[in-house]
Parts: sequence; C-alpha cells; structure tokens
Amino acid sequence: MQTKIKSKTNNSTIEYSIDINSLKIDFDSILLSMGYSKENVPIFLRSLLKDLYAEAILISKPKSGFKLFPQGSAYATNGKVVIEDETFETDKIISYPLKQMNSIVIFAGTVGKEFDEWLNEKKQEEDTIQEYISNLLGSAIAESIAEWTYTKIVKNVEKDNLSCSNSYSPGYCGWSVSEQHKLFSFFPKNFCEIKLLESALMLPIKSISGIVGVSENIIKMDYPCDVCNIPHCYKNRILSN
Amino acid sequence: MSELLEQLAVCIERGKVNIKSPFPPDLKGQEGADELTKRAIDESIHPNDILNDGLMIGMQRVGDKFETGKAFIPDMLIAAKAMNAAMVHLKPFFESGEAELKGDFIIGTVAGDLHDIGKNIVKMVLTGGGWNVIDLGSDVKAEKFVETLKEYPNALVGMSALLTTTMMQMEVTTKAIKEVFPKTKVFVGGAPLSQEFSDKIGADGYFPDPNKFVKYLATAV
Repeated sequence: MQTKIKSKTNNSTIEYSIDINSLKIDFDSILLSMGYSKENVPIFLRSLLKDLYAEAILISKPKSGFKLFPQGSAYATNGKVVIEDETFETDKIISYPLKQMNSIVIFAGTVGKEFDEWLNEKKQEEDTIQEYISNLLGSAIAESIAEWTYTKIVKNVEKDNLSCSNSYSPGYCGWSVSEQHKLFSFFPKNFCEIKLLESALMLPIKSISGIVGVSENIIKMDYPCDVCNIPHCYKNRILSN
Repeated sequence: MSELLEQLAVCIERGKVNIKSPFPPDLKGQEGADELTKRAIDESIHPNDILNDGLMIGMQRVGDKFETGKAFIPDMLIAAKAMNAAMVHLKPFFESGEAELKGDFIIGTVAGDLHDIGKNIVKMVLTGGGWNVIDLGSDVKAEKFVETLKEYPNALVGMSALLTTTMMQMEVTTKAIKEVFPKTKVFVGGAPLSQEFSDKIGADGYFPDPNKFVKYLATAV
C-alpha cells in the first residue's frame, strides 16, 4: 500500500508516502552483512533484530519520489551525464551503460526523520549493540525504499514502452558524493522532507538518491563491481556474501 | 592465572555481562563479568591483575577470533559490554591511582559528518581495551580537538569520517593539532579512507577495524 501525495511542481514529479509493511526487509541479508553465515548467527542477534524491527515499523514514515525528465533532456558521454544544462562528472562506470539513454529519472527517498529520532534514542541508551543493529536495519530499509522506488519508476516508463537502466547514486561507482547538490537542485524544495548539508550528507541520515537512465532499448545489467574500486560499497558486500 | 581470573576472561570473551544476562545461553544463570570482578576485588586480587590477567585476556581472545573471521562486530561489542560492567568496579582504583588505565584517547567524527556508529564501535572496543576514552561526538571542529588536548595533553587522537567530502576535514584537523601539539599521535578511520590518505594528510596511521587498532596501541604506544 502507498499513498501518492501529489505532484509538487508539475506532472513529472511524484512523491509517495510508503507503508513500511510493503517494503521487503531481508533479515538474513542484514545478519550476513555482519559476517555471520546462516548457521552461526547467535540466536540473541536474530531476536534482537526482530525486536528492533518491530519497534522501527511503529514509528517509521518512509517517503520517496522521482522526477521524470522529457525525452531529449539528458545524455551521457565519456565520464559525464548531462541533464538539461547541468553536467555531472560521474566516471565512465556510470556514463558508459547510460550512453543509450535519451531521458532520465532522478529519485530520492528516506526512512524518515522519525527513524532518525529513534536511532538517536538508541544512542542515548549507550547500548552499542542495539545502536549497531538499528543502524544496519535503517540502511536495509533505505535500500528497500530504493528498490521500491525503482519498481515504481519502471512501471511509470513502461506505459510509454520505455525501459530503465540500473540506478546509480552519488558516492558510488566513482561518482563524487559532492554532486548530490546538483542532483537536489532539480527537486522541488523540501522534496520528501530531505535536507542536504554542505558536506552533501542527506538528513534524515537514512536516505537515498540517484538516477536511472531511460530509453526504448536501454537494459538493466549486473552492477560492474569488478571494475569499481570502492571496497565499502554495499553492492560489493552483497556480492561477496 | 587464578581460576577466578580465568573465569573472568571467559565471561569477557563470551560476552557474559552479569548473572541476569540470557546470553550466551550455555552460561545462563551463572555469574558474569560484573559479579566475578566484584568477587576478585573482595578476594584482594590487585586491580591491575584483574585488568591485565583477566579482562584483557578475554578481550584479546575475542579479538583474535575477530581477526580470523570466527567472531564479528557484535561479538566484539558484547565482549566490550561485559568489560564495561567489570570496569565499573575497577573505576575507583583508577581514580585513586592504585591501578592504571592504558592512557587517554580523544575520539570524534570530523566536522560536517554526522555518522558516528563506526566511531562508537571503536570507542567501545578501546574502552574494553583499557583506555580512558573522551568522546567528542560527531560534527567536531578542529578547534574542539585542540581545546580538549589542552585538558588531556598526553592523549592520543582518533578521527572518523564516512564521506569523501568530510574526510578532507581530517587534514584540517590533523594540521591544527600538530601545530599546537606536534608530538600528539593522530589516527584516522572510516570507510572511504586508506593508509595512503593517512600518510598524505600527515596522520600517524589508518586502521580498517577496531581490533587491529587496539592491538597496535597495545604494542606500539
């Protein structure tokens, strides 16, 4: 279930309020990301994760949305992605698979400020294990919001017989996180209630953003983790598990 | 090592905080680090021996498991939690000077960055490793590190950052610290960092995980 709030600026911008129960959260993936195998996860960790999730779903108010640019408004070339009059220095890892696009979608989403407040409460309790697990849970929910939003974008463009590339985000695949500012300049003010600090950090802290290339014949591929040099990237972590 | 100190080491290694803790299940209902430390003090075992021959042995064991992929961050954290429960009883001896901690350690996430879970994990493991940790929190300006060093002039400093945009603040902070306290050792950590970056900004070392760092401190400082 989700609620389409309203188009904030024009028909191309959509914002959703998401029912957290509609997001797929894979507990095993969270536990595996800590290093455990399915067989050796301590029972208390599994139950702690479930308890924290039960708390989190009561307070979280996830939101996401996207903006679809018209045909011909974006292209990619030689390490750059251009949207209207703005050039993003993305690296070739991103520009190469987007070469065939002729329009683009930008998106953002957040677990919500209520989750941040809850996370801060956990910090105040000075129980670092709870804080650590809550943090991983928040990242997993944010990632699930990204997937949920991607599905919405695909459905939206499919109506016009168009297809989508992978999604790419500032801070990954050689694209500097500082370019987040350029990306957010295209969103209406206070989009999804996400604020951007000077350091390009999004607040609420568990938020996501990115781009998706669109055209008649663009395809979604495996992420090129073998050519990317960011060892801490979550995609790399998932693949190595 | 006395049997009591060995029991204490096991409690730290396994993360058995006190008699009420349900974890680990096979030690349910048994005394934990809390009760055993109190008992050791009552039996007149010197606080330094409790720390070095009991608590630290347990932390070393879980640290070794961490390094060989047999334990993970939650195991380190629960061991450190048990350690902290024990340290409550030893605190008066540290304050009176009868027993000694390893030293002071100032820690914080640099200006512009609000990510602090990594910093908090390092803090917990350092405390478990016998350090007095002064936590400045997140979004900490260079001046705050320098100001705190004036209060703890022999302290080591650890900085954390998670963003490529904020890691540059580490250079600013390191320079500010070294200008006033040239002999102070400054260490850096965080997902986008590397030893190369640490060298470039004039820091004294980069560590990818808290266990390696605590081990390094135990031998090198």
